[in-house]
Amino acid sequence: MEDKKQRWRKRIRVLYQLAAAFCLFMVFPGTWKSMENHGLLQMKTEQGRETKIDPKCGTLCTKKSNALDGVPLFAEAGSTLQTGLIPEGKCCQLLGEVKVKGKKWMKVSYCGITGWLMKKRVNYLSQNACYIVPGTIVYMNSITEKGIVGYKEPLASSEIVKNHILYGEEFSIKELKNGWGKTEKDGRVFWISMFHMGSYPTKYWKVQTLSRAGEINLRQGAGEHEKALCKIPENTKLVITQFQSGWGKVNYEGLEGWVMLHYLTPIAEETFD
Amino acid sequence: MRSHNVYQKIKNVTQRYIKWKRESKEKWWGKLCQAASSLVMAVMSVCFLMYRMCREIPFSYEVNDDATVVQILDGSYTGMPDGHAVFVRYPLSWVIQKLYERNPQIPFFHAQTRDMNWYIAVLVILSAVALAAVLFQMMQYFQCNRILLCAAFNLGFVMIWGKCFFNLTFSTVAAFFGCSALLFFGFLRKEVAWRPWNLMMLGLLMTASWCLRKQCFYMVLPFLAVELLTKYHIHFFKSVKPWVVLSFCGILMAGVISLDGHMYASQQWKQYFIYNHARAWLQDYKGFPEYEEEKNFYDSLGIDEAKRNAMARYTYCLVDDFRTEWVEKTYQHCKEKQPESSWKERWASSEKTAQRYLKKMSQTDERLKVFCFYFWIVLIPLGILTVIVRGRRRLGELIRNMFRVGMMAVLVWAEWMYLAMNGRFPQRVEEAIRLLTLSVGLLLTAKLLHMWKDAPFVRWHALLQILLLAVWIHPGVLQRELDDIRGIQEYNLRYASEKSEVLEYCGAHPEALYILDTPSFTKMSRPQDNLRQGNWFMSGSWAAYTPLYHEKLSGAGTQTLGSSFLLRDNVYLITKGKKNVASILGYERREAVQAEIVDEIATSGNYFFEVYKIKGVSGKNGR
Repeated sequence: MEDKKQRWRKRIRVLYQLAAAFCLFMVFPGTWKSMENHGLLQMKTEQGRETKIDPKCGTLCTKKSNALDGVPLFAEAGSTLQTGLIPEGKCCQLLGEVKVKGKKWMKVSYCGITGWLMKKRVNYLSQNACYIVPGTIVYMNSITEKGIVGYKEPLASSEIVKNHILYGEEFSIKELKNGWGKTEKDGRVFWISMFHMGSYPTKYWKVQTLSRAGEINLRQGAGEHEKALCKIPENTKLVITQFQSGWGKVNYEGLEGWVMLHYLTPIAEETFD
Repeated sequence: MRSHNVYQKIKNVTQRYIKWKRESKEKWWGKLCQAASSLVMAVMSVCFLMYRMCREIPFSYEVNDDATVVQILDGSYTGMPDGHAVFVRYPLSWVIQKLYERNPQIPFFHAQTRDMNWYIAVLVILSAVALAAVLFQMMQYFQCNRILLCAAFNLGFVMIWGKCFFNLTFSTVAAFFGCSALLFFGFLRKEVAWRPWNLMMLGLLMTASWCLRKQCFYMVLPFLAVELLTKYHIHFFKSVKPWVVLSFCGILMAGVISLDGHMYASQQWKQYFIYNHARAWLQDYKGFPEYEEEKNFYDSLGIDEAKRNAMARYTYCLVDDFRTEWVEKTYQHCKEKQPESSWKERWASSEKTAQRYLKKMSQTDERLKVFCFYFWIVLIPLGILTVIVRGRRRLGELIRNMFRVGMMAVLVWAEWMYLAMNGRFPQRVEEAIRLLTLSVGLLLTAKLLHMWKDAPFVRWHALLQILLLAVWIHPGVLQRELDDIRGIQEYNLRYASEKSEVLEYCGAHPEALYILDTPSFTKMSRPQDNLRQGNWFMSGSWAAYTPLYHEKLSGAGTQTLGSSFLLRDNVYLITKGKKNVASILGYERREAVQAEIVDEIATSGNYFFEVYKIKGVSGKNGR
């Protein structure tokens, strides 16, 4: 009888230990799961990733930042390996959308460079294709003293064909490749870096200098040497009626004049009040 | 029959070995062997991990402060290595200075690692020592499943802290050393906590933390005090051991603080620290008040709007009549104007900020944020289970652990609130406090798990551990993490390359002197660039107005970087893109400064830096 009681006690002890072991080992994954369910966990495991790409079309415009140092493109949505850089305040083609680790990523293409970027780095511009394609007229958009250079090949180390491409100089793009555009001028064919090029995608723009000055000049003509008529403050929305060499003609508070597009960003028609 | 005999012999030998092993665990040489094997495992695994990581992944400085610290330590700021690095204190700065004096380049790592310098090398070595020490103590604490512990600890370090480790600042490294000291002390048994080698290790980690950022050291102190109290709660007045620990720590820190105080004892340094404290508060936290808001005050000091803007945007070194007392008086004025409020009111108003930063904001990696919550949440079910199953047998230990959990939870929240009262949470501050929260949570979880140590199902055979490890490591978890971190670092460093390209231009024109407009450059730097000071100055930085700065200016034959220096034939100003040079120099009217762009630097990041020659300044002309 005593032996039987001892055996039962031993069995209960073993069961108790097993139950305790099970509970102990379940505490950790159980807590993790509970955090996921209560939304405290932003991360998802590989299996939890939503990998279905939702194909989209249209044009996006990259947002400007104070540093104007470009928007990085990544090989995959959610990846940290950067594959390229596209300029800020420029239009790119929207190819798809996906959600990874709770954040939205967009697949875009800019002048032959394709990659993924986070949705918060772009604004939606239009359902239409306003981005740069072969045949688009572009202008040199960077402000520089010496200007940029046109190369024989789409490589910065190749032979220089044209020097001193200054702000506003316009080109018609014949071909796009890896962020370079092929063009022809004065009988010479050369490639230019599309990082420094702007286009005329829409007539709706917003003043965005991101500088301390916080305002731009409305000038009488399309040139920095032209007389300044008045100042237009930051975030003013404008309708451009005519484009010329990187300048846009606007009507602001009854005055007609020209503004430098380098200090403006294209916006969607729907956001224009 | 013969095979049966052989089998019996093998079985007998095995049983005798197992019995001998069980008995030897209680003997001193058994314990020594186990400690030695734990030490070897800890050191080898950490060294292997560090070597592999440093070979594959480049370092970056999250802010330029570390680059300037290295310029002072390696001698490029004044021409000789100097330990007065301001943010890195003695004796750590003295050690790095001596290493640079002995050999400017690292002789043995250079071929293997990604362009390290002595500063990074010392921090990496200290970090490896900290990791190995904590891992060793953890293995000694649990005395079981050491292989899994080793692997989990190293992988956890890479996954949770790897990104902060490589994108370093002295603040986050200081937090790492402080938290390592806490974990090291926390895992020590009270019988061995007072032993000299343990005290030396604790002293090393605490000193390193203090030298890099004393605020990170102070934030760990209350937790160390709680740990000391719970270890020696009965023995405090009955034994010398707790007093040995306290005395050692007290004497060590007193010695370190005295040494550092002695090195900065001169009047010039004292004056600089008063100015720098005010400058840091105004530029990094509060901001200079707007001119319109404090017009009367600014006018009373002779500061117009342009000069106020130059102070705010880090070009104050170029302002002709700039004096450090402008900054000090502005600081005093702002402090006087701040409404008097009691601790209770400030506490109440900071609560929402603290909650917001704790739960919603995330300037750091998501994993660091998640894990700093995870261990605290796991304490609840683990604590309940431990009370039910193990409570009766180990009541004393349970009560001490509950006390620990309660005290440390209060302290953690108090520290979040204290930081929220400062009003600003820069990224490095958030990383530091999250690491502390995670470390304390991990320590408390380990304390509760220790109460299950003698349960039969907890100890796993070494072969089973190796099998589990193989299953875990095989999918390439570690390599994936390293690739992720490398990608982030390469992205970080891409934007830091512009400064080195501009400096290359400066180096190519040694006859000229250049002033770099501070806001034109990104806040990150690359250790590999070695940004050696030569013929260039920043228009404003924390190093300005130190005795070293005055020494550097004297070397260039000037007392100031103002217009008298700018008008020299061989002095130029470099800015990113075209800028209003008059406003950089603190002049309101654009016409007050005549400047001409004489050259342009096109960097690989598609940026253009303009090189200006100042030809005339408000009535003064260049030669």
